[in-house]
Amino acid sequence: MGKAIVRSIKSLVEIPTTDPDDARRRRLLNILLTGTLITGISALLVTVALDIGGAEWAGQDRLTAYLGSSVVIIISLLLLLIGRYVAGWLAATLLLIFLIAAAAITDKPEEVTDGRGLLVFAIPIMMGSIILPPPASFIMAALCSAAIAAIKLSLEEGLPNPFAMLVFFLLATVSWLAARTLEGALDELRTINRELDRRVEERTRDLAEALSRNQAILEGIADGVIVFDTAGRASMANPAMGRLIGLPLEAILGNDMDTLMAGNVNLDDRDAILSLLDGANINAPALKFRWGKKVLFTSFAPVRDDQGRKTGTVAVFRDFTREAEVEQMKSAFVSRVSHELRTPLNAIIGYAEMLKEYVYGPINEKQSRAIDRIMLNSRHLLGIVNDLLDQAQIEAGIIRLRVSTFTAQELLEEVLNITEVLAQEKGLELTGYVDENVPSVLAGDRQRLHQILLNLTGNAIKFTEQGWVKVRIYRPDKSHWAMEVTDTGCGIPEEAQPHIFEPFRQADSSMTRRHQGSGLGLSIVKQLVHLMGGEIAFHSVVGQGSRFTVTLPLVPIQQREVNHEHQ
Amino acid sequence: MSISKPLALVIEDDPDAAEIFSKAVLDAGFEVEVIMTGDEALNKLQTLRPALVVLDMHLPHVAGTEILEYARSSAQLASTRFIIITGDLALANEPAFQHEDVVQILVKPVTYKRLRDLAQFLRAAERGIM
Repeated sequence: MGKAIVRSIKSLVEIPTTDPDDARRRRLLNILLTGTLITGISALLVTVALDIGGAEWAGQDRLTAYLGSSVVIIISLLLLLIGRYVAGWLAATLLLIFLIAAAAITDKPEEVTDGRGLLVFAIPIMMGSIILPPPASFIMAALCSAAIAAIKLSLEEGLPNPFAMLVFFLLATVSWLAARTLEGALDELRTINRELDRRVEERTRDLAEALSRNQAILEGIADGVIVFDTAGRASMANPAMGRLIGLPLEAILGNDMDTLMAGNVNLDDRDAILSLLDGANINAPALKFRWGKKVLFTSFAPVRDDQGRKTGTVAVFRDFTREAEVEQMKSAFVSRVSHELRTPLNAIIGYAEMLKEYVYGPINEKQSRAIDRIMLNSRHLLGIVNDLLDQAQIEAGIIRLRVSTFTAQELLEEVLNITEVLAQEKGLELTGYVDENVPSVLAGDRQRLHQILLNLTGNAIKFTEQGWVKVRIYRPDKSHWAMEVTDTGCGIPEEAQPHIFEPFRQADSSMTRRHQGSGLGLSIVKQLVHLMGGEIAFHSVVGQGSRFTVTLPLVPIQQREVNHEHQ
Repeated sequence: MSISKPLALVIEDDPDAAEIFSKAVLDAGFEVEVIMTGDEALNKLQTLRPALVVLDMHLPHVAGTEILEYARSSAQLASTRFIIITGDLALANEPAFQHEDVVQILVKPVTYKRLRDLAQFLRAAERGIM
């Protein structure tokens, strides 16, 4: 029951409009009406209390008190109802008319037209600009003027009070200006609000779009991605990452890299990855390593904010398992094929040599020459097979450097011993020397260095028809040593010079046949030199000769492989 | 075939290479036995006491290093000398080969003459000691 009353009162003061100005006016009207309603009720209660208390009333006064308070209550309620269910402006107009009427009749006529009563008219005039559109205050001023004029005329006391009317209109003007200014300010505020709302909405939409776009990219790419915060904990990871390392995303997020790798990655790789994550290794921010049964290729990059401050690290992991298998198969295939090729070749060379050594009885001169040809060609073929194997191993990235110590003199003599015969056959002068400032002991992959120097010296002899070939080992600066082979051969044509280190290139293809190379020699030499952290350079003039220089670090670099073979 | 000839084992799975190696070692003055598989080699080494083993590192089933390890663990093979044959240049620096019982590491192609001369040198050195 009580609730129903509260609800009906609440519904009475509800504002059934979306027009903000109308709503504001109705709210004010409701406050005023509620105020008058409460005033009326209070007056009625006071009257009743006085009556019960046995107050001495003049009959007229008692009637006035009861009637007045009742009229106030009824009119207030009526206006509330009209405001709620008919129209706010109508209720407001009626209230103002009621107020004017009240002001006109509740005092003595002469006070109303010329005395204190005039003051009361200010109320409806000012209220008019607040609970009705601002110009309404002028109408109210006019009504008030009309009211006092009518009273004055009815009193037959001459003309109405023009000053009062002037003041009414002045008051109306001030009220109108104030209300108008207020409404203008409110309107501006609403415009600003609407603009703000629009912008917020736009930004929110943009952000949501960007987020969903980034999310879609992250979720769509096949590579695993983890973002680590500055504390090294995974703050973001994509589904591919989860699939790659076989963990649900919840198990990745919040953990650091070391925890994630534990048990899946060997210790060396873990150290390498952690140093990459720290950004310690700027030059090679990528690594191929084994994670459980998978081979992953990972790279790291710092994440920076607008001011360039590091806010974390993003790590990308690519599944290289298949590629690693192919690489493994390729190298297995190559070594298998080269074994299959070399075994019969070795047998041919072996038997030919045994024939030549009379193991199977004496042979004549012609037979001996034929055997020489067999051996020469077999060795040539063996050389080509070896070159192909080297090339394939370099390409597959599985060639290994084995560092040991040796002397420059040893290296030089070994190569000269082999090549001397060839030089003598062509009538060339072959000399070699080691500079005094070369350290007595050198370190490096002796076998491969031997291969490099032998190739360069062999080439020099091959392409020189007369004159000399000089091999020199020296020390160009504090931290390097160098091998240099100079000849007085045919030289390399300028147009061929850019290509001589490419596989299967000789200055012209007829040379391959004439000089019996695999066409891989220099390419392999260059790749080996680079693998050792060295440089190869040459200077050549057609008809004058060539000079090849290999410069190597005195402190040999160790294995540079990134693919760790787990055999 | 005199009794005084020391025994040489040629452990090599390729018949042609085995023929060349055994001929070379034979001509250097050894009595020769050819073994084609690693399993057989491990078997024979339990009873035979060769002065020289010509060992191809690339055998099917049993790695050459396994045979080396076995020989080194056996007291009766303490004086056996090895000539290692390998096709891989890079294997020449293998730590297992840096041992006094390894006379030489030969990288294929190993010729008749090279092996014969080496075996002859070894035979001469042994005679000199004895």
